[in-house]
Amino acid sequence: MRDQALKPTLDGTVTVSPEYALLLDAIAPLDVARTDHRGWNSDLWGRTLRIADWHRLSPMLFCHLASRGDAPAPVRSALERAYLASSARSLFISDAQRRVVGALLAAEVPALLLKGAALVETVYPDPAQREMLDLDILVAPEQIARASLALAPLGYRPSEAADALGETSMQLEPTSPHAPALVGREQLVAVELHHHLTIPGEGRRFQIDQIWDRARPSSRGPHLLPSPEDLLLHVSLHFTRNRLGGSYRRRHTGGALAQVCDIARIVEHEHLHWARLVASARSYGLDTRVFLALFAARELGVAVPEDALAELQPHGFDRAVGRRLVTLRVLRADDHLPVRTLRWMLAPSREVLSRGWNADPTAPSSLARAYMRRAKAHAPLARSAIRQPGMFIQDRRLNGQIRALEDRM
Amino acid sequence: MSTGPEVVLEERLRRQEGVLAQEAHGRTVLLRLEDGGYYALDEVGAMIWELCDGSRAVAEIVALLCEEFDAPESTVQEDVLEFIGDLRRERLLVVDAA
Repeated sequence: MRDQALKPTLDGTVTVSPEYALLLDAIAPLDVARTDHRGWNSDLWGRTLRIADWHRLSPMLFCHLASRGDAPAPVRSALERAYLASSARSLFISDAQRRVVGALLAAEVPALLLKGAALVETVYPDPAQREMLDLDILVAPEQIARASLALAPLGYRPSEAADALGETSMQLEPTSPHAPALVGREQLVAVELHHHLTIPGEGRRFQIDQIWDRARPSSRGPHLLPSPEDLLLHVSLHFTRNRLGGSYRRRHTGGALAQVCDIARIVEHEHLHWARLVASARSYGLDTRVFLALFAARELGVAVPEDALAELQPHGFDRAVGRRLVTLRVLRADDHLPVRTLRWMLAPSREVLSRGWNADPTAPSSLARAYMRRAKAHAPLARSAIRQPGMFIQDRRLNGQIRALEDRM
Repeated sequence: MSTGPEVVLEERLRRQEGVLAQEAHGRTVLLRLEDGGYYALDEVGAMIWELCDGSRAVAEIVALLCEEFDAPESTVQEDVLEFIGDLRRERLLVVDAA
């Protein structure tokens, strides 16, 4: 599914396709709705439902349309199923969270909630609106092993997939931001114990101790929550990790607009000290990354203050590049984006093969086997690049433009 | 739904341990933690669910609903017995032994 959704116009504003306009009305409403869905045919609704699903916004769209009451019954029904499933999942995760945090605290391991768990507690009045896949918790680096042990009696252990890849050895890997996901007996909720928020190549000056220093207590339990500014910084960082491309570490996933929705909710519900956010982003060397996330959000209607954006804007930034980012990496819904470098696709480094594909970097035969496993797994990506050469070229061009922007910092 | 275990009007029922409930846009979602099974109740179903707290007999719940909705007792009783039977069959409610 490829959506030619965003077209810059002469006055510098943007227009979006009807499907995306409806989703944007759900996550970042304007005074006047961007689209009128009365009279839409079933094809248009079908595309909208598929796009909403890819962007993990079906529950949010359900609530938006339910308040208006004028969507066709089959559409309402399909979205309601997704919404109710999300509600049940949020119940399941909140129960797991209660037990996991309790076990960590009993082991004297302070726990700071991240991502979805922190967002549903702070900026989503209805937790079902924010689809959650797993439970992300920050613990101090030196307490990762202790935390894993504390969760074992609850049935949490590294998943079989992690075992198969030998990823348990990554627990002591200092450059990995989190230990392998732990999965409970029921195999329904994965717990990711993070000891850092960045991955190699981003924010080398990042001070994780400062995240702990600025954390706030929760009113719902003994855990901590990131400060409003750190919540936005982390969401922005994740947005760019998933959308900027150009590196094997920047893994494209679904849910681009759900990330924009997270930013919108934080801007709407948190009392943000923008100067603090700007100072943190600068001191960590993440100002370009945070800027690009907030620029994309603002382009899509989120009320990010212009002066904060101006503070973060990298020298020589071309708004056309920012809009291309929105077009190519946010307003689209397909699974296999050719957003990586050609070198990444054809000639991965030993580091990539050893870290991601369990190769022994000193053994040529092990590297060769890992290369073949990787090639097989990435065949759909290569096929996508061959099928859409134009898109591949556009994506490569954008990667280069973004890299140039980051190199200027 | 099909008829569940026979429900007696004098019985008091309470919510099963390990079943969580959450309001969800006009519905009430019930989640059975042991296997992740979930159910959505409408407004009337949610009201019955709330009334099943072990403190009152099914007959009292029927009387309360008759008063609330100004409906014939025979109709309400039939619907409540079937609904509560379903909730028992799905291991969401249990008879309160106390």
